[in-house]
Amino acid sequence: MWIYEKKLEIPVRVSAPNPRLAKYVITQYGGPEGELSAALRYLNMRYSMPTNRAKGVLTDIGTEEMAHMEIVATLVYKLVEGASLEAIKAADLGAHYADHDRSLYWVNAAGVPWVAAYVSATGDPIADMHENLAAEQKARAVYENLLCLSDDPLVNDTLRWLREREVVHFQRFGETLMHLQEYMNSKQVF
Amino acid sequence: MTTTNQAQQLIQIQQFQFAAVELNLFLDTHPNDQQVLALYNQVHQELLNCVRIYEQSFGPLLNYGYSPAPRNYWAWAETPWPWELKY
Amino acid sequence: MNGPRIRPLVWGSWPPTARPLETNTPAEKEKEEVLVEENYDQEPAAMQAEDRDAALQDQAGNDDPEENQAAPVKVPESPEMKSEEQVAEAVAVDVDSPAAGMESEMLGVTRPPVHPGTPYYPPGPPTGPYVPPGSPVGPHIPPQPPTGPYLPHMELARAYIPVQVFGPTYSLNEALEKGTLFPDLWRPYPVK
Repeated sequence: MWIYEKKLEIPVRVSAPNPRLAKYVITQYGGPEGELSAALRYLNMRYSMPTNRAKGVLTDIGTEEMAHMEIVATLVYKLVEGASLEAIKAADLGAHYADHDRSLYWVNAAGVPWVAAYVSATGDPIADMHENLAAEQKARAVYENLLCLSDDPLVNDTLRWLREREVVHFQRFGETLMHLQEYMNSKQVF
Repeated sequence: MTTTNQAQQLIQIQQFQFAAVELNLFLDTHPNDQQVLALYNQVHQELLNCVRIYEQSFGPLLNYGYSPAPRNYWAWAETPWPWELKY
Repeated sequence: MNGPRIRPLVWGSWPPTARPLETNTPAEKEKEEVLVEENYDQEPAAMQAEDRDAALQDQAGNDDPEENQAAPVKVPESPEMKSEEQVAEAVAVDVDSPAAGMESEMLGVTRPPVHPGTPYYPPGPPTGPYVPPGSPVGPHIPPQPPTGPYLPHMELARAYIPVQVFGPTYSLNEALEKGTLFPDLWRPYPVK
């Protein structure tokens, strides 16, 4: 079960409203390599993992990804809040505004809504752990793309922090992969 | 930029909490590491102290029974929500 | 002896090891000459099973001619290793060929001789007794490369990620700024 703690994992600041940047950053909210995909992927995989250690890692990292989703949502919210309608239209967010006003929605940077096909779960522990490793690397790469696109130093601090978390998660999933490989070999599963 | 007293206390909680998250993830893959277990318990104590002090001033941080509600009104929804807080 | 004759490069061991040709005992020289001959259809003379075993056991005692071709590490011969060789001979189809190779003193492993001109691959560190593919060795053991250019205890077609060892950590506020408690995992991205 999940309970909610009424604070962000880190302090999040933006320098000024910037809808153009919000349009890019929202891809880590509802895009293919975004935090929603990561959270749902890890929290879904844990039900059929063979060992307790894998279930623990997936639960904890999945929960942290939900917290990261909140951080990205806060970034987008602060970048759009207080922006005028003209600025929103100039940033090519008019289509988003038509459907959602200033509300957030799970879309990628091009406005394509989230689909469950972004997430995979084969049921094979080794394959699934490799998918998680790949997901962390993809998320890190997208954060680096966003760092190239962004010119707001405070937003960059948060993006850099989130990118470093992906690196750490990759290491934890890697250690879990080693553990699962050893487990699968010892169980004589063919 | 100036941070409010609430934000400053919250940042201190965030520091302890983040250390706890990192140690939690480390212990998930290193379940028998005694040194890290001891460190995690220290961080846990410090975090609980900070949270209780913060909650006395600014209302509950957790819902569903994990934080007390000492005031005569339900303060859970009243304090600034995380995405509104100016740091 | 019986069964199909197999050309050297097709043998199951990897990598094929070449040997310098000049420092062998007469028994080994004889087998090498047999190998170099193009005509593989003939049964090599005087190479019956017993003689082959005897020749192999002779080689086990020959330290000198093999020291300059084996790796510096020399595994002392033990009774257990002999029986493993015999198991390897008895079970492996590939290795059971005429003039079935000299032992590598280091491993107690039977290596088939190679076609002249094969490049020399120095054997890697020993990883244990050579188990030919297909041999009955009990419950499923992940295949180990016998020797070669791979690191010991690593197998093909899988990924390896080192497990972190706990070490010094950042201070709490520095950790919150950087995104990790561990300097080992800190991967800074250049500030624009």
